[in-house]
Amino acid sequence: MAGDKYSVLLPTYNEKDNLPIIVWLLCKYFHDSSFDYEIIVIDDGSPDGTLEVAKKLQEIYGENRIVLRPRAKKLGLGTAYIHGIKHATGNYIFIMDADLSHHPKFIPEFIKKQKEGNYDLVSGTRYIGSGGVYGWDLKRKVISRTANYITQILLRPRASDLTGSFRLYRKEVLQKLVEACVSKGYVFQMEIIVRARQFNYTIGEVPISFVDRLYGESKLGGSEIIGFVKGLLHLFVST
Amino acid sequence: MTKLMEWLTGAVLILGPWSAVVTNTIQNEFTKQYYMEILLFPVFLVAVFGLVSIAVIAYRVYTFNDCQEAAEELQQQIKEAKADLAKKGLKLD
Repeated sequence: MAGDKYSVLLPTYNEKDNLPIIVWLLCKYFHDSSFDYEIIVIDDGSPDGTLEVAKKLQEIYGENRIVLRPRAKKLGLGTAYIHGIKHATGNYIFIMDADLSHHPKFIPEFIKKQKEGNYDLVSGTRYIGSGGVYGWDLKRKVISRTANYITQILLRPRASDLTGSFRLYRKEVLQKLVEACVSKGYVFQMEIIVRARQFNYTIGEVPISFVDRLYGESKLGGSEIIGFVKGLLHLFVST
Repeated sequence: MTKLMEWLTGAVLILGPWSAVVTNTIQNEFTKQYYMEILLFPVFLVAVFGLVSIAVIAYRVYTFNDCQEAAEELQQQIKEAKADLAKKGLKLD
């Protein structure tokens, strides 16, 4: 549709190696599909020089494509989204990870799905269809599937992947959802889906491949699991 | 109604009549004949749920896509991106 513009929110923390690649990929797939876009980099005072790299990318791709809205320190994902939405000039918002675990090649598929069903929200899922994960061992897969299974039984969200963070939203929908959410971390993404159902927003799904972090290690320790269970129970009793 | 309330409602709907039968508050020929079966019914439900859950989770873990090609494609594109960005003036290690 004429006039649609997609704002990609990229919260970053120490992503000086990954940021140029993800920006290159985003520009490539958006350019090839002719959709109007901007990339909003929200750097939380990365000590590794991520912001300097972002400025160089801005010189290459232009200030209308690479928008920098940094913050002084690590302030969390929810506020990063709020901050990003305030500066977004698009009517649709993509959220995704900047560490190359999410691949921009799925962006045209998200857009197509959204238009097909006129969805308020399109969620990238690792658990159905051609979706999947690279780089997880058996233990990690078991934890992931078990957590998702328990979540499905307790919350019945009618969405297959609740902790995923590769999604497309109408701008006003994301705004309303972020304002309504109180959780942090994995549970924040879960709460968004649960609240979306509460508000009767429509949700579409696109299978995506998730490539676990190349540079550095992602951790799933005891405290993450406890935090997840606490958050899940909180949603169970309050929604 | 919250999910918790839904579950409590469901629990009451099942455990209400069950406890009435099990405490002999309500009884008839049927409940007398099948008393043991009725008594153990909730245990049976939990066991079935447990077994089905394990089977479902095992199946989903087994069929979890490994995305080998996605990882290879990404590695390839990273090289491409670095080369292209170097041309455009951004040197990366």
